[in-house]
Amino acid sequence: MMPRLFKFTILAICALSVSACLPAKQFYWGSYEESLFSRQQHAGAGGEGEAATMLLATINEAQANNGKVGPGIHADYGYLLFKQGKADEAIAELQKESALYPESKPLMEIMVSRIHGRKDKEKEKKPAP
Amino acid sequence: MRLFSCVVVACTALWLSGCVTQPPKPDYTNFFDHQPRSILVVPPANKTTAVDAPAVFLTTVSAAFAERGYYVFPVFLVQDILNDLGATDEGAIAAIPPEKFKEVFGTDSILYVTITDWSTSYIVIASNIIVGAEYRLVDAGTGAVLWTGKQKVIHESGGGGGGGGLIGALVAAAVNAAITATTVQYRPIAIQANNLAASQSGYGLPAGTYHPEFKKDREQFK
Repeated sequence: MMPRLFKFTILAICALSVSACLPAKQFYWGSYEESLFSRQQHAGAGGEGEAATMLLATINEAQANNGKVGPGIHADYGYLLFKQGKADEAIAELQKESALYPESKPLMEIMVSRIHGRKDKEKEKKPAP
Repeated sequence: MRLFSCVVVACTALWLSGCVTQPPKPDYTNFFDHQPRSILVVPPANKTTAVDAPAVFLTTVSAAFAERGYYVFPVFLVQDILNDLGATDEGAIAAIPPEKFKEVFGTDSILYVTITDWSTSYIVIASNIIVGAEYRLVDAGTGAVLWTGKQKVIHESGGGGGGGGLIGALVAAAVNAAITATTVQYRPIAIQANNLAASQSGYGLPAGTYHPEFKKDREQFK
């Protein structure tokens, strides 16, 4: 452990050197970018599953900390859920993105309608009982 | 302890960046004429020989630009949709007209990144990790260039005797004295480059709609 005075001095120097240019965070990011990196490093279902877990944790943490989930996080989580075959949960996440960030609405609506379309197709495929 | 090192590293970076000679400021006329709310980051183009650079770089852009107050589309989802449309390499992506992005994604602007540096240089026992990139933000409605930026971050990654005095020595001690930079070591430097590119006063992006300084920071950008 560093001596306290030393630590304090370093922090004070830092504070002075950047005085007021440290930006405040607008959004809660959690491990969003790490989840992207994890997918980049481990392509396929394994990396995607891991990323989905990280995104869900990020969304829960944001709620617990009263932070606003960063743009793209609900959408990305929804996309991963869709890839895992969880259509209804996917749609719920995409709609959350759309409600939180109206800029995403056109894309989210297209995705939701595609997922609905695919669900209908799968229903047709199933043999009649 | 982690927070402490974060703060030290972050402000050292900011402090050092203040010493660099500044290029001329960008022209913000087009930007304010077409103030975007949303940014779509396309997979970066690559001028370096590091094949994995674009894929890794793409995981470091979102927060840096969104924190300026913009909606940034999820980068991997965008990449997958572009792949579906047949745009699988930088040439094909560059050939897509900006209006097409508006039509498919509903975005206001497109951020094109070209990676110019992604390397490790060796100076006797010390090594420098260098990440550099050029940025071009284009209006999706008209194709007008809204903003351009350039950033290069050189990070001393070990060895003794490097400059920077007390703080430099601290940072050097905090970073593993590894000689070969791995992907994992490039990422934080890329994040730093993106943060600087996006938020440097007078050079970065003016505050967007999600930022408390929206419309109040015009003096910095002219």
